[in-house]
Amino acid sequence: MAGAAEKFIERFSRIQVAVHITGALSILILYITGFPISFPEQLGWIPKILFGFPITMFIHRVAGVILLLTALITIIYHTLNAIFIREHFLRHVLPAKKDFSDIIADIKYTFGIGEEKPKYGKYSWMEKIDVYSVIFIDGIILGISGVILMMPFLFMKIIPIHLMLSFKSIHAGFAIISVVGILFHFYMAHLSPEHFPIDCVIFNGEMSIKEAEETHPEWVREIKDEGVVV
Amino acid sequence: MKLRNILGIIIITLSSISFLLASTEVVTSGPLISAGLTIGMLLIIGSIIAMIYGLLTSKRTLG
Repeated sequence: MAGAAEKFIERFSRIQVAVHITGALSILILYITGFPISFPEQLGWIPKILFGFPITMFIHRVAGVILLLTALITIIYHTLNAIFIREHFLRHVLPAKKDFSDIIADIKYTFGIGEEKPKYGKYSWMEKIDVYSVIFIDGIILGISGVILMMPFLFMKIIPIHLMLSFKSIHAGFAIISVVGILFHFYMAHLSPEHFPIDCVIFNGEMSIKEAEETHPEWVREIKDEGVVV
Repeated sequence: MKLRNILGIIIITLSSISFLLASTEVVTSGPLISAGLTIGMLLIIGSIIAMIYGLLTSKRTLG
C-alpha cells in the first residue's frame, strides 16, 4: 500500500490505459468464445453457458471488430502525435541496442553469472516483446485471417478454396501462440511475487517513484534529467 | 519460497503446456489436458473480473 507522502509519476497516458483495457477485454473475450471451437470436447461447457454456438460466434465477431477498431484508433493516434505533437512515444517502444545487451545481462543474472540486474528504460525488452507480439500475432495475423473467415463468400471470389481452408488453421494455430504469450504476460505483470495478485499501474497509469527506481531506473534517470521529476 | 510464488508458475506452466500439446493434435484428450485447458480458461475469465475490479478501485491522482 502506498504511503501518504509517496510521490507518483505518469507511466501510462489516459489513452494508453483506455487502449489496454479495450484491447485486453476484447482479446480475452475472443479466447473465451474462440477456443471452444478448437477444443469442443474440453471446453464445450462455455457455449452452453453462452446460450449455444451461434451466440458464442456472434460475440466472437463483435469482440474481433472491437479489437481491430482499437488497433486502428491507436495507429491513427500515434501517427498524428508523431507528426503534429512529436511525442516521444516511439523512442521508448522501438528496439534499441540496449535491449540486446539487457537480454544478455538478464540471462547472466538469472544463472548467477552476472552480478546485477540490467537497468531498464521506460519499457524493458520483455515488455517490448509483449507489445510486438500483440501487434503481429493478434493485430496482423489473427486480425487479417479473422476478417477473411468472417466474410468467406466475399473473399472466395479472390482467394482459392485451399487457401481459405489454410486460413482457418492459421487462425487456430496462432490463437494458441497468442494465448500462451498472454498467459506469460499475466505472470510477468500480475501473478509474479512482486505484483501478486494484481498490478494497478495499468489501470490508473501511475507508478510510485520508489517502485520506478527499482524496476526502471534508467527511465527515472531520464525523466529526472528532463526535469519532470525533481 | 512462499506457496503463492510457485502457485503462479505451476498454473501458467500447466495451462500453457496443455494448450500447446492440444494444438499439436497428438494428445487431445486426458485428464491433464482437460484440467490445463479448463484452468487456462478460468484464468482468462478470472482476469476479466480482475480487470473490472482494478478499473473500479484504482483512482488516478495525477492530472
